[in-house]
Amino acid sequence: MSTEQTKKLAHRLVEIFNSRDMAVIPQYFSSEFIGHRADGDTTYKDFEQGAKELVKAFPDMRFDLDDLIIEGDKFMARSTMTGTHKGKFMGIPATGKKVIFWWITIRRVADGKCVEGWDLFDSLTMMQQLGAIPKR
Amino acid sequence: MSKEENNKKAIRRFYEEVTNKKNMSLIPELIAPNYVAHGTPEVKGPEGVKNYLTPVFTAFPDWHEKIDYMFAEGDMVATFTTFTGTFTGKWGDIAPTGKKVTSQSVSLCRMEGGKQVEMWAIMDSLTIYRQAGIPIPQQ
Repeated sequence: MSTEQTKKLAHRLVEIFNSRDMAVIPQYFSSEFIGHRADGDTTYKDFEQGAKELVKAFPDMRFDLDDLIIEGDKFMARSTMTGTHKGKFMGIPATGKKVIFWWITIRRVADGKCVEGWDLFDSLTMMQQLGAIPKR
Repeated sequence: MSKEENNKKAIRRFYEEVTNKKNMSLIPELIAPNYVAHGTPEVKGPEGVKNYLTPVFTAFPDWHEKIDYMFAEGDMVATFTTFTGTFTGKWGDIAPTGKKVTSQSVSLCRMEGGKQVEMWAIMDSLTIYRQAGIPIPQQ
C-alpha cells in the first residue's frame, strides 16, 4: 500500500462510520484483524460487534477527522466524535444526552484492508457527559 | 537522520528519561516555551508539564510507560503506550490503596526544532480511577 492509498482508506473509513452502514465492514477489515488492548487482544468479531453496538448506542454518531498522519502502511486518525446517547453503552442505559469527545485510532493496512489496530477514546469525558461521573 | 526519525527520538527520550526515570530537569530541553497540550485543563509550557506530572508521580512513584507503537509524518509524531503504576502515594487528599493500574495512552505531538510544541493525548484515566480504587462519585 502506498501512502496515498493508505490516506484514501483512512478517509473512506471515516465516511463509512458516518454513514453508520456497518454491513460494509468486511470490505475494509480483514477477518484476521487484531485489536490490541491493555487487557489482551481482540478479534475481528469483537470489532464488528463493537462497531454495531456503537451505532445502536449513538444512532446519529459522527466523526470529524481532526488529524491524520501516515507512515507507510500505518495511519493514526484523531477524530472528534459527537452523538446522542440513545442505547446502552458501556453498561449505561440510554440517557438521551449529547456527547463530544476525542477518539484516536491507529491502523495497519495490507491489501486494502485493516489488519491490526489500536483504539483509544476519552471514556472519562464521555462518562462525565452522560452524567455517570460528575465533573471533579 | 530524517526529521521524522529525529522527532521520534526526541519523543522516545521524553518517555524514557522524564516519564520513566522522573528526570524533571530535562523538561525544558524537550518541551518548547510555547507548548500547549489541548484538553481540560490546558497544559502550557515546560512549567505546566512539570506541574501536571508531579502529582501523578507522587501518587504513582513507579509510573512507567512502555512505547508499543510510534510513527511520524512531517512534524507529527504518534505514540501509543501501555502504562503501569502502583498507587502508593497520596493523590490530592486521597490516601493510597497500594493497588496497581495498567492501561493505555495515546498521544499525537507536533514538533518544532526538536521540541514538543503541541499535544493531543488521551489517557485511559477512567480505568486508572477504577483500578486504583480512587472513589469516583456517582450522580
